[in-house]
Amino acid sequence: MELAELSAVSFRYQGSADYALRDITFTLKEGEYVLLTGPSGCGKSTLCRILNGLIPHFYRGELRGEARVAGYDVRSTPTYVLARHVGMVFQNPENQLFLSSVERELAFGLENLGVSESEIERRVKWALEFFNLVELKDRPPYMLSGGQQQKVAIASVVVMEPEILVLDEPTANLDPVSAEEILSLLDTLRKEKNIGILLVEHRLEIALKCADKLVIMQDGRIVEEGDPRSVLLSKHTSIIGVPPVVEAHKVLSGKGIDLGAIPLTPHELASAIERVMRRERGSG
Amino acid sequence: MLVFYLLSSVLLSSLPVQLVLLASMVPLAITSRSFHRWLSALRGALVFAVIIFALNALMSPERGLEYAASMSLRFVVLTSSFSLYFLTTTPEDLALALESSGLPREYALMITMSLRFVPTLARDMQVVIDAFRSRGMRMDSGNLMERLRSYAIILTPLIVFEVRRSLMVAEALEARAFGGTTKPTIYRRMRMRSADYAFVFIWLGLLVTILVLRVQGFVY
Amino acid sequence: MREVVVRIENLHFSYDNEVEVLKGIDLEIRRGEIVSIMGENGAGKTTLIKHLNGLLKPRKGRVEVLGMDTRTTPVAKLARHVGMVFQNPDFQLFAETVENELLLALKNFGFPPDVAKRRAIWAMKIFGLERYKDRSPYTLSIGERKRLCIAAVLCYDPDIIVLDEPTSGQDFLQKEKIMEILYLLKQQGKTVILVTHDVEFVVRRSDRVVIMCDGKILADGSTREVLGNIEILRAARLKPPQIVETAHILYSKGLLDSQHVPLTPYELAREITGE
Repeated sequence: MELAELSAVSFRYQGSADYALRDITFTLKEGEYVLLTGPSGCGKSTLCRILNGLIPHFYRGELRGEARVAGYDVRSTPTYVLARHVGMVFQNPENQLFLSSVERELAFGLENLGVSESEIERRVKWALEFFNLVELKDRPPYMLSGGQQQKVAIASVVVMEPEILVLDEPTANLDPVSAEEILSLLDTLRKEKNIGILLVEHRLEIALKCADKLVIMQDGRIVEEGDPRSVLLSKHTSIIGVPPVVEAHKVLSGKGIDLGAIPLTPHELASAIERVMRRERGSG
Repeated sequence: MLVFYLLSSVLLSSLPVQLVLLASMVPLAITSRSFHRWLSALRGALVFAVIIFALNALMSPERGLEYAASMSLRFVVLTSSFSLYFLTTTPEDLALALESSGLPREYALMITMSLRFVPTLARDMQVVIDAFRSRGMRMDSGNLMERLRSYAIILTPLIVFEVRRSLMVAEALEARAFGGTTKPTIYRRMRMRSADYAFVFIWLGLLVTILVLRVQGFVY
Repeated sequence: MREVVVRIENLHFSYDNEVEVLKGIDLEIRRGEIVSIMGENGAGKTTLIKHLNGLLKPRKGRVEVLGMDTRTTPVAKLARHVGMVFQNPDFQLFAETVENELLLALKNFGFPPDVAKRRAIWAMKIFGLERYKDRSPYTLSIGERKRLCIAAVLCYDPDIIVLDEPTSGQDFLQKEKIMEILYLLKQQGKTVILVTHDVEFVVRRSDRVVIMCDGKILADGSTREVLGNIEILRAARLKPPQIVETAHILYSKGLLDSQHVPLTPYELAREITGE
């Protein structure tokens, strides 16, 4: 089932001569995990903001093409309606925490949706446990670490039970360990609730293993999309860089050693090398 | 409570009355565990109290020292009752109370958010100052004009950043469904309970009694 | 051996007299080294580097930079020799134009106007920013602003350059540019101190790695010694470089000889093919 559908979408910010998005056709299905990457300025953030209506309602400009999210036409549906279906998490956690305690922050979105108090209580309790925030429930945001803050930001969006979760470089300001923790929580969440996830990331190493689809954007267009392993073989990776394990696959290929499928993690690379080495030894 | 103190202190001018009012705040301060902070607020007011006393004594000697004393004490009562109020009510509670009583969400949120961002802004300011000093510039030297110029230079990146930050916060608020047409639930809203009603009645009652006594001429 | 440019002895520091953030740091850095300081958030990395130009003074112990005791030398004087670039470029851009941004520190340190101008132009050229000469720094993209901050510090030619998280939030091409800059700095004989989480970046550009954990130094050695040691990385809650992790899995299966830990794909390929 299609949760989001963009057809031939182009967008130009008000006051700008260039198009930030050119002729984008993109779909997000239920339960799908899409990793979106590309050089700075390629339009990744712009694409994200169409999904919850920030474009064209908050960011004015010229929008062409068809954009439907959760069954709504984005052009004619205000963000506060779309926010019920699309949860968006931004890069800087500090700018997403408005209130003076974690618990109140988690309740905030639900309050805005007019959800009943008892339901708010139930969902907040669930989120505090799922995201491991129970001890922190009364703490103010400035007393939390970056990783904790971002968990709260994500939790306060997830608690609204959207069908789609869009995350625009959520781990950019975090250390790698916190980043991994958050991404694996997201994967668990996706599996439990079958939500569609769109993750924008530069650091492919940490996100590749969970993704169903890898999309590369450049200059406002989608230049490559598909299964991560095949996309990583594309020439377009020269603008985004590939993880060292993929680089290793390429180097070894160049030396005549065929490791088979592209590895996405050190374990996969090691297993592939092991297979080849045992084969060689077996035959030698 | 605040209203009571303000009105009584202003309407009644005798020294013993002001002393009583001040003294009666002490148990309140103690029970709300803000005694020490309240006391330091008092000390702050003391300087002005002395000034008022001196001015009154000098300007209107015919009214006597007692009058001067009660004027200065009135000042102390007024300021310390305000400080007691703010010491016992956190601004977040105030915002919540206002919203629970019907103030639109935007205004209550403004109060809460400006307070929530104070430590953030303070920290950001420190970062800018560190960067400024790391470029070899000094904050503490030169004449007044030069120092003002340093502050102006620091404020530029800070203001630009914080204004951009406010845009990002606005985006995030929209993503949290803020600004919709549904009436928002207020989680853990503040409700008037019987204790609260009783509290209001007591203070109102005291105020009315005092007013009546004043009119009757029993106190002044 | 080259001279010691930074000498830190038994450095203790706390912000509020209660919790100690640095608990006895001993560190010596020699001229021309590229040192990466790593560790999880809260380990004390940023606190440590702020001692290098005197922004913070030791509670106990001593920090000596190029022979100057940071406790008694004013920040403005230390800053002439220690250029510090913080993580967020937006907090470090003070002037109305790109050129003036570069001239700011130059003027401050007393460079004569013609020399200052020449240096500013040189720095703009190297960092690919000349076409923005008269534009406001805020019209530049994030990557360009970051490069501008580094340029603004490099242009007055300090001996030591400190970079706090130079690659955070940068995309692949921007990181490559920063790597080029680091290579350039090394060629110029500068001493570079990096605070970073980016293991893959460190592998490619750093000579030496110092790992901090909970206010202390946990490991200090060459990049290969430290980042090749999985136990130390785990103890410091750091993710090992992907190639190192791969190599360790192969060691544990007896498929590779652990004498020379590969850090890059090429090194791994050499270990496997034996050439």
